[in-house]
Amino acid sequence: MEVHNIKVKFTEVYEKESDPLFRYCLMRVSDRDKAIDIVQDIFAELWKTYNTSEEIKNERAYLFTLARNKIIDWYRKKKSYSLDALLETEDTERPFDSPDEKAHPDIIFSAEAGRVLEAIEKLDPTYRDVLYLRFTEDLSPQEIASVLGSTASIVSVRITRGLEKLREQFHT
Amino acid sequence: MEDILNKGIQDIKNISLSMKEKKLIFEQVMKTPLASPYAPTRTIWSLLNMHRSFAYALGIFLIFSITGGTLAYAAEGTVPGDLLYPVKVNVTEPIRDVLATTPASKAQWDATKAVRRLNEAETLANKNKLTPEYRAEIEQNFNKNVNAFNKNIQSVATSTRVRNNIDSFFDESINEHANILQKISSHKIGGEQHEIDTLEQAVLHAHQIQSFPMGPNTKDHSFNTASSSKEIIKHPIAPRFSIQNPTHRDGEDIRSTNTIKNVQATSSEDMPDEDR
Repeated sequence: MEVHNIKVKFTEVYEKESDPLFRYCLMRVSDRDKAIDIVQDIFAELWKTYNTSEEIKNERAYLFTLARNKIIDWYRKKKSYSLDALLETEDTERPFDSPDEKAHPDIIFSAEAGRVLEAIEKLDPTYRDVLYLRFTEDLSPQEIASVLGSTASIVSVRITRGLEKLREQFHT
Repeated sequence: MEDILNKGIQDIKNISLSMKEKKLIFEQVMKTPLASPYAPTRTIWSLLNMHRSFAYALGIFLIFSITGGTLAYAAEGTVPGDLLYPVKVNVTEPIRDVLATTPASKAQWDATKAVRRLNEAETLANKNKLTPEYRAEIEQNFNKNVNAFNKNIQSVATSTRVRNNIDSFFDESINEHANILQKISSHKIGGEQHEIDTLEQAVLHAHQIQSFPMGPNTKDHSFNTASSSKEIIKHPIAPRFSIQNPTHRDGEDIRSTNTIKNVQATSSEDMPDEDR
């Protein structure tokens, strides 16, 4: 592929997927700046991949898989940093970036969105990612399976059960 | 309630990057350094292309490894007279000789080799192919293995269970194969029976030295393994002797008088006081 064509294709994908990826990252890391950093890393990797002529079969699944892995890396780094901070402060002072901070503290949502996110956070982790990717980012079960390293049938079952559990929370 | 859920989802979907953020990210991504397409890529193939001699050496090594491995595997089940039998006794077994480093592992391997020889003889006898030449070859190798076993087992510490385990393995295996050879012999006639009987004598002789003392002339080879093992434990450092080809059979003791004296004398000396 020529450089010009690569850039055109990349721009198309960027326009289409940058917001969903940003939302996904923001929901997970609860920090707008950090979410922007992760999105930038993801697209930098996509740009490199395009320039090495490697073929990507499903861009959406590929990008969300990258996002998920980068978020996991971020949590790992954050955890080790927080543990170091805890040791240094010798329990006399609470570290700034403690691991038990509440989710989404700095993001302003509508009351309904906040309630949905709160309900999703209360769910078992098995259903959390699946429901989020399905209903807010409109990923197909096949794409979600590809992101989570599972099968489409398992994802479908988890969507159905997770939705039931989510509705239960809204009815109680 | 369903409305709250739907509106909440819709509100989440409306979260997005600002135009300024979007533009900034795009610009940063475009500044990402990319590997030049003209930069040499270092893959195994490029290395092989650069160093032809290394490629040839690797190729030859791979060919030898694969061919050698296949040959060695195929040779494992061969018997004298087979094309690959020399590979088994002259290549793969000596390699395993080298790999056995401790006295115990050497003794165990020698015992295993002796048993392999008997297995080969039994296979040939069952196929009616145990000719005098093959019998002589097997017997020679068997005696060599038994002698090596006797030599190596001497170096294994008597205070450990390992030695008793190896002794028991050898004793029981030899006993078992002596019985098998006897059974095969009873179904044969003429020259073939003679070959099996001759080999059986060698096996019998090895067993007698191993589980001293046993009468050599008995035709009943159903040795009591338990008593043999007991004998080993009772005489943990009983010496072993080189096997001469036992050629006599009919009513004649195949062990020399000196050998019997040596065994009796040394066993008596080595026995604990309370056992004497």
